[in-house]
Amino acid sequence: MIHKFKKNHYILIISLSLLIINLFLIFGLTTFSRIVYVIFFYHVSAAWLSYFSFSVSLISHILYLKQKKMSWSNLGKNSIIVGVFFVAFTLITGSLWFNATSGAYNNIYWQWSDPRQTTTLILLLSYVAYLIFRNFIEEREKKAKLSAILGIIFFPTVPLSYLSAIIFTSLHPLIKPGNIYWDSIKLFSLFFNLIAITLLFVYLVRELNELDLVKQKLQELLQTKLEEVK
Amino acid sequence: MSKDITTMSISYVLFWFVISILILYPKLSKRKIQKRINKLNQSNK
Repeated sequence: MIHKFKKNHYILIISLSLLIINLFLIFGLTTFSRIVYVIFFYHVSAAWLSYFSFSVSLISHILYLKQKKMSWSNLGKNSIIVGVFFVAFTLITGSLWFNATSGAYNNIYWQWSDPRQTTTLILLLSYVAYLIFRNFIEEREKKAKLSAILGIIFFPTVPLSYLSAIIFTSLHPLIKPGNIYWDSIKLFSLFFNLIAITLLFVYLVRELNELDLVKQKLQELLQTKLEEVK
Repeated sequence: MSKDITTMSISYVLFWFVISILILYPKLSKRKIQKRINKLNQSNK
């Protein structure tokens, strides 16, 4: 247990160090016509992490339905917790960026007609609904089974959110190879951020899994206590 | 320009805020539950 904790702390330290080093890379090496474009490094990283988290949750839920191991169900739920936070951050920073760069359309934060914004909001609400639904079920096995099914049903909102800006007409810019706004240094900083934030995901999910184990231990203790009283 | 700086600063602070919550939540919850477990174990003795 102690060994596990220490290993996880190393992951956290490496991840946070990489994020801080990347801050120097962004401000020291990259140049932007407007400073607001710095948001992109965090906005894109958070979006990547949320898509990654929901993909991990999909795999975990499928594996739970196959193997019936509670650890898969917990991994699926914990990935969704991390993903929900980061997708909310992505939405907020996207809106702030839109407001700052929309020129004549000042003070507009939201465009319902924009497919990327709307589908990402649907994605966020779906997974928030998943977490609320999971919280309502008492029985462990039933909770794991039903939430696994729900997690699989909600997953198509992830590719829908990603593809919405490609398939439909959207205000959302796309990072394409050869785009003049994205030179090699900027792309390097972006990938650096992606590595740091993915390591952070590993740390967070491991910590949340540990929390689930401690919660389970408490429940078992309470159960034995209750049986003793009876 | 000032709007750009404000927007960027809000986003950056928000980024670290999200990370801090996600790091602190399991740590604090675990500590709280562990205390309860210890109390229960002590009362069992």
